[in-house]
Amino acid sequence: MPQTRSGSGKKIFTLLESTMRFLFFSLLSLLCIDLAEAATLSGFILDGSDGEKLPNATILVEGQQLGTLSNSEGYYAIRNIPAGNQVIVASYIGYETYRDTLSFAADRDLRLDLELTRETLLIDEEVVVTADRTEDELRQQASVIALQARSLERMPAVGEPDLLRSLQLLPGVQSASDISSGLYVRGGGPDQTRILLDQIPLYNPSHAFGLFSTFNPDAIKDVTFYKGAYPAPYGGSLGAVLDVQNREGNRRDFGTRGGISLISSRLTTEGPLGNGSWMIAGRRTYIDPVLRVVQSKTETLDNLGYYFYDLNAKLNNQPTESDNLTFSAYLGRDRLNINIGDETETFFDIDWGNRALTSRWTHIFSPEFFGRLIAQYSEYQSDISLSIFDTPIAIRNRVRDLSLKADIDYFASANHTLRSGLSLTRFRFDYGFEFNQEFTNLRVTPLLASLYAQDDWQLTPLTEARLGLRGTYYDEGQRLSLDPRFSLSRVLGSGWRWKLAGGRYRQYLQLVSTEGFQGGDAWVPLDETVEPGRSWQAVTGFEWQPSPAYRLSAETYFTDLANLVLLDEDRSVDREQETSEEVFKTGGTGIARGLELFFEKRSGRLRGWLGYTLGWTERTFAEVDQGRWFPPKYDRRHDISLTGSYRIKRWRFTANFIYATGQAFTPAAARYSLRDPATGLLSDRVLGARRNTARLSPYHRLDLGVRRTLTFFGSEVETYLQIFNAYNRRNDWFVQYDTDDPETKPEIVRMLPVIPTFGFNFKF
Amino acid sequence: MYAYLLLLLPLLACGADKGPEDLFGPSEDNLIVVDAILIVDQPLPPVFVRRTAAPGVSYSPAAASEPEAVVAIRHGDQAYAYRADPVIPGRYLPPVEQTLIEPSSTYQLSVETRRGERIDASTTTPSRLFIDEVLLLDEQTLEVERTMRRFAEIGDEVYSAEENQILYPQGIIEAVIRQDVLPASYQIAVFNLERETPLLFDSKLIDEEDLERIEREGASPPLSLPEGRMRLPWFTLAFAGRHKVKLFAVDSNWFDLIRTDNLNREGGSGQAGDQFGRPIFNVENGIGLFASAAVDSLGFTARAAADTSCSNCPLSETRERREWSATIDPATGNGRVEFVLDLASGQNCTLWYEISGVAPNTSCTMCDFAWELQLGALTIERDEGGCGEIDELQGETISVGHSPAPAYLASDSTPVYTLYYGNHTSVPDNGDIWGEVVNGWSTIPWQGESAGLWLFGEHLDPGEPFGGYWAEDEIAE
Repeated sequence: MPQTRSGSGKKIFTLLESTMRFLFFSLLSLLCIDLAEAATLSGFILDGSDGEKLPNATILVEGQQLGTLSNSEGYYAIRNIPAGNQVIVASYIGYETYRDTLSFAADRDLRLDLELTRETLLIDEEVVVTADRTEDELRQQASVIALQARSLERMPAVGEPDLLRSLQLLPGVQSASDISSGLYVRGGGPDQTRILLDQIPLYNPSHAFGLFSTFNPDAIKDVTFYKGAYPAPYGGSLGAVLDVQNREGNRRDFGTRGGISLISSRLTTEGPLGNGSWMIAGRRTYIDPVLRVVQSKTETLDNLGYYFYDLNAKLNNQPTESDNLTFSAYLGRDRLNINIGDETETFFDIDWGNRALTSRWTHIFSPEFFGRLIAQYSEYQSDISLSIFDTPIAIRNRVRDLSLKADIDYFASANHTLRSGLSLTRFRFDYGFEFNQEFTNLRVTPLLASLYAQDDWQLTPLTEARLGLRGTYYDEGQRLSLDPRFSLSRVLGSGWRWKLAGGRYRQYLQLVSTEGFQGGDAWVPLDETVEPGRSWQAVTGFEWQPSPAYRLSAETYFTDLANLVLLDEDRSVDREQETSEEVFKTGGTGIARGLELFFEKRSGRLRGWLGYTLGWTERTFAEVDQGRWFPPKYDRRHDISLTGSYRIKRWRFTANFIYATGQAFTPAAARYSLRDPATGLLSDRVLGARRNTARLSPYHRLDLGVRRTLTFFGSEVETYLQIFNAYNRRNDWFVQYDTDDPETKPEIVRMLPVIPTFGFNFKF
Repeated sequence: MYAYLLLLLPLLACGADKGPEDLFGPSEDNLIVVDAILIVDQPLPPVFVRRTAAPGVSYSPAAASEPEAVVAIRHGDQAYAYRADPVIPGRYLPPVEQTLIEPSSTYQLSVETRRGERIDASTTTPSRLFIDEVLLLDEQTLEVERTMRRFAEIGDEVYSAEENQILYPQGIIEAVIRQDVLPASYQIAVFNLERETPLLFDSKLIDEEDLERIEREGASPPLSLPEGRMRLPWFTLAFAGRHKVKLFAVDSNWFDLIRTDNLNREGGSGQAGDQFGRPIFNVENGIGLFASAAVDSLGFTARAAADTSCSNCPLSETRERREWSATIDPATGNGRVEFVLDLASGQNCTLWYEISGVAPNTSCTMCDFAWELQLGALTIERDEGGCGEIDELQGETISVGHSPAPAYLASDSTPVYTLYYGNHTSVPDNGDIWGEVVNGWSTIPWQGESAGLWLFGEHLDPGEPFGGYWAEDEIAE
């Protein structure tokens, strides 16, 4: 039972506890779990250096076939431990294994908060910390990748280390272009990946029109990326889930880290606060002065300004051994302003960004019951104001959601860990359009309620299953859905493991996006006129880990998509589109299937991975290309990515190489002339062939980087030089057909050239 | 070491880059393209019939025209058989005796080619459209500043009416419309009726090169005008002078084409990926457009903010006149070429030459057709120091050509084509050197008093010697 509670919190807690206990009572009666009297061991698994909680760490009772994984807050509980002396072993990749003998008495609960020590390797008298967590800890679930920010920082990038761009190097994940950080996962569009920061949805996770993601690498603690068949606690996307957790802050010491690059500077500072910690991380670009110089050199512009910034803050406190309170905030903003400053008063002003606030209360009701109560608010706004030759235009989009979530983890027995929760989200979507003093304003406020239950079930010592069910109610159209999720994993011996996972998924919100201009993104809810998107996913594969240093996996996936929508651009521009049916082309179906191979070397001087994807994805809409199946432009038959880093003393050399089949496009099949019916002027045109039936040239690119670590007045400083697109491959972006001359000329618009950047990171 | 080997593997797998020929899809050449627009309360229009060409080969609309087709438009029990235009290949003209297009009525087009193809399309015309009021609103409060005059009230006097003088960028023009049955959509076309007027504003964004590319005609995307009024954005006006704004209430064929036509999409024609769709043509066994609309128009004169010198005088009448023009009957070869000059200094000249002989000229590759004209008898009507050497051209042969595509529409909606002029070379069998007559125009009206005649000419730039290249010697190699 809780040891301390406040008044209002107590009421909420009591309600939560009653609800959860009822749910689990029902579940337990079904599962016939053995609740024999025995000792229970519980507690948190922590990083010994800074007190950060370690999620998904393994803890087991040696020789007893008893064990579990720590949950997302680093909490664990092992029940039914026989009385007597038992050897407890806890491990986490990159940390020294904890091993100790503890004495257990029957019917006695023991609380043990474990602090794991980071492994260190002595290399030429230099201490190099290696602490890369990989998907080892999540290996019972298919299609999941876990990364630490440290891994991301080492990858060559354009100016800034970037989470989303690094994820684009994984098999099954693609990008749309060099300037897009959108994730196209297993044949799905960027809106089919739900992106969470500290469990808050981020609606537009990009800066600089998609060039960078909103995630500050210094603030990131843990990244879990479900490429498909994600489990029941998550929902709201047809494809994938990216769950990013920020650092809670160092509970031991004050610390500061940061970096200065050609584009921006970032600073993160953290430290202990009472029985907790705090962390604040900020980043801002400083290309404004450069743009001002550009502006001063031209007579065309009266003002040219662009910047972005983001701010992450977290406050964490543990008032009792059983309670933990966390408050976190995110604020990110981009602003571009161009003012021509002539008598036409022509200007362009775009301002977009996310704001998010969350408060989380975790509580240990009893050693086997762990609960969370989360209240959160997320807002995305995009304001575009412009005036073209004295004609004012404004587009405003706001997405706000206010959510209340409650979850309980129940470490029921050695064979069952149950998790259940509910959430209520009230959305508010506002869309405003102004053109030439004519105004359109729309507001929708749907409610989404979700309830889920999941059982991590150790079927046999070698077989694990995860069974889940997620129910949702969406009040736009009174949509009720019950979606099963499952995964199965079996150890086959000699380092081999077989995995199977699948489930059904729903998506109620839809992204309206313009490629290459993510600042103008808008989210709209689907209403009663359109069925929400639905997917069935199935994933199976093998994993072979002959030693801790090497891992090889092969995974196949199949996704069946239904009720897809596509922005309908074929309507009158001034028609008020009040329903989803008016905004979208509806009733689309699709499939995605493929094979992913992944080879990883995880330790030693040379580390890295080689990934290969063989994939197919197709769509069909009754209103598009006469209902024929077509590949979306991000369909890639082959996709190879190779990343590597090689360390020599204080130097680290890094490289990424990417090869992908060219993106699909619609080629010209004929040329013809037709008069514009309104002006009567004859113009030459090209006739498109069937949709996306041709391919651009294959995409390939090599990025190189070199890093040098220095010790400067006792502080760790790292300087780096990175070269994006080292051999200056001008990859194809899209094609335009020029019909000015009698010969129709296809013109390929190219992506980014070679871009060298340098900078340094520091830590003290 | 292994890593470097692995690095080589994908490099070896890289396919060859695409050449221009790889960026075209399987050819869909020789599809029939029909092109005809029916306007309510106007006579049957000409029908153009062309073919598509493979995207990788040289294309010209003239070469793509489809001759010897059997074209007809049916309306109820009535069938209107079209005849091939003897001058413009691929253009088919309606019968002389015909009625006007009826509103809310279905018309069917059929085209049969000599290869045995049959193309069908049909359109149901919208109901009549009326602009009941044209208002100038305050751009901030949207209150009515004044009511402007309409064509229905004073005809072409709208351009000089004091109420219709618009000063950039003051106010918003609003048209209040009336129509019994809502059409599939509306579309606006804006025509600047001048050819030489300056920009309405001084913009840093537009340089000399841009200025040449700015067209004086343009059309909007499809509009629904749900509140029965149309507001004209200022960005649709670029040049000073008389403007005619046509508001079309369009049928579903017209709407389908303009809403799906990639010409209106960002990135121009042919952006890769999801943006580049195939338009909806609604033509059976072919592509193109057979559509209908009801139309009403409004007119005004736009002036730059700094132009306060003249409150109600049309800009076109303030210019000096310096032009030549020709009228030829293609059937007989009869006609004349006339020169007119009126300068502020008082110099003037009006003269014409009868055409004494015509012959086709096949050396103009950019022309739809070209002729050689021999200048015959000279008549000088007046000459007060303005004719110069232009009265010495009797017996000369000049070569002129007509472009395949119209360059713009005249104020009465007649398409105006580019005029080409050929200079003889002194090298035997080298043909002529052809060039565009910069301020030239060429047209063949299909109705009215000049129906079927070839009209062409040139408005000369101020300062250019009258006569220009007409008096030049043959070009030496």
